[in-house]
Amino acid sequence: MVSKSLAKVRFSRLVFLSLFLLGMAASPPLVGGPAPAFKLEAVDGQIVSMTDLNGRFVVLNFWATWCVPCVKELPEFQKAYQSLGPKAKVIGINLAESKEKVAEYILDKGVNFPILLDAYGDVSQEYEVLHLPVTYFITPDGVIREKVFGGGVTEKMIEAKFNQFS
Amino acid sequence: MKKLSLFIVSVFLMLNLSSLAEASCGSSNCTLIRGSQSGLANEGRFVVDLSYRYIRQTDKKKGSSDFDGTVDVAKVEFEGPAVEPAHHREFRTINELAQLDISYGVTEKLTISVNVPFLNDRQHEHIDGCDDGDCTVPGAEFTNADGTSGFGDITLMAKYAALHTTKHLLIAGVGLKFATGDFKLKNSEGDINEPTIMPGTGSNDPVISALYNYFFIPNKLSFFASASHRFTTKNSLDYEFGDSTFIDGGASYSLNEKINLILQLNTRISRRDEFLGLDVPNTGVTFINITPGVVLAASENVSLYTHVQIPVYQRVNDVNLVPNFGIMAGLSYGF
Repeated sequence: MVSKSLAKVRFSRLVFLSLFLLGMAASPPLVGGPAPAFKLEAVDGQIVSMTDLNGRFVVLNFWATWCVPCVKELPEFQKAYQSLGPKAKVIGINLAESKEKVAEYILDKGVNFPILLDAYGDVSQEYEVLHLPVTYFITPDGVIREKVFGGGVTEKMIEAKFNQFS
Repeated sequence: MKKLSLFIVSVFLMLNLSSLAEASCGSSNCTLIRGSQSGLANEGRFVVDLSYRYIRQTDKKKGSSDFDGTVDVAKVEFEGPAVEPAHHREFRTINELAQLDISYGVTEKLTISVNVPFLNDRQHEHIDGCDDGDCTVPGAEFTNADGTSGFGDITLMAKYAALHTTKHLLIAGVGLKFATGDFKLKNSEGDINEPTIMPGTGSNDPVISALYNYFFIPNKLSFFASASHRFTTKNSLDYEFGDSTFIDGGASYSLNEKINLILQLNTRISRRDEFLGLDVPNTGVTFINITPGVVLAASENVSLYTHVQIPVYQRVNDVNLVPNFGIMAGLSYGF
């Protein structure tokens, strides 16, 4: 018969081993691979999917109105949207805020590049968004070339990435 | 006898495991999950949490039924050594605890935390010296002088985010509760007091925990489930508290940028204690509580919170006093 103490030790070892193995699991990196597909509603009501963007250089910025570093760099995306014109597609993806709140916010800030609504965070999940802001640079072949984490993206940086990757 | 110390530890563990989907912003980015609520601290940052708990035990239970009779419980006679059944008659115990928790984010996924119950105060009222349930015998008298107060058992935990995505968070924790608290305090008769009202248990006990969080709407609505288990060991008085398992589940809803509402169901299952290898009467419980709470973000780095614990199911072995409610309030500061 197994004693109570021995049973506890065995159970503890089993639990610790399980937790260790669980921690070893990891998903492959996104950069260098195909951009995950998505289909989201924009603030203006249009439905935008990743396939609509194929063949274009895409700047994908994940953001939220409560994220101070996000809103600080928002004007830079607006400037890049205007300067690059149809050569590239600058897209903002708002994380889990109401359509009304986002619409009011971008109207107030003079943002008119497409803002998509990731209402439940499903697309953010696919793009491995753990912090905001996060910006992805996607080449016309649909491959993610770079991920920029944290604020500080500028119009010049976006143009440089466009020149580098397209 | 009530298992006060374990109950209080359970309240702490349950509430500490509760989680919120909140954001915390630095100069360059915002994390989607704030560490202080999920049990993780952001990398290179500290979270200091100071809390106060008040738990009032006046309700009587026999098994899982309400009970109008007398709550006559056993005494563990360490000096004997022996266990005296129906030795004293319980009336009321008021528990007040103050605790300091410090967490540090070693990496984005690994947090080390230390829980310091720096004040465990238990005011205890009973008739002492009964003889097998007869409290009219000579020498039996009411006393409220057998409460204890002191420093409790420190727990050191390591918590690891085994899965951390926008929608899912799985944290596994391992730790050790150290025998830092007093467990040999004397009662009014000069004997070692009841183990269950001591500030500490006198044993070094491994603890494991797991928390899963599903962010249905990130930063707005999340659901969680958690479990933890304490593997108790025997102390130097040959007393061993029963193993305790805590299973919790609940939801957190962000009312606005300042206020989060939490509703959770907390279950605690504790086995009987053992003394000299024998079961101790009146120990071992199953409690299920519903716990509403609110968290207020007072500033970027400071949050205030309060929870109320309301029993929905309580089962004791034999007869015992049980809490009729518990309340907790605290302050959390990250830097």
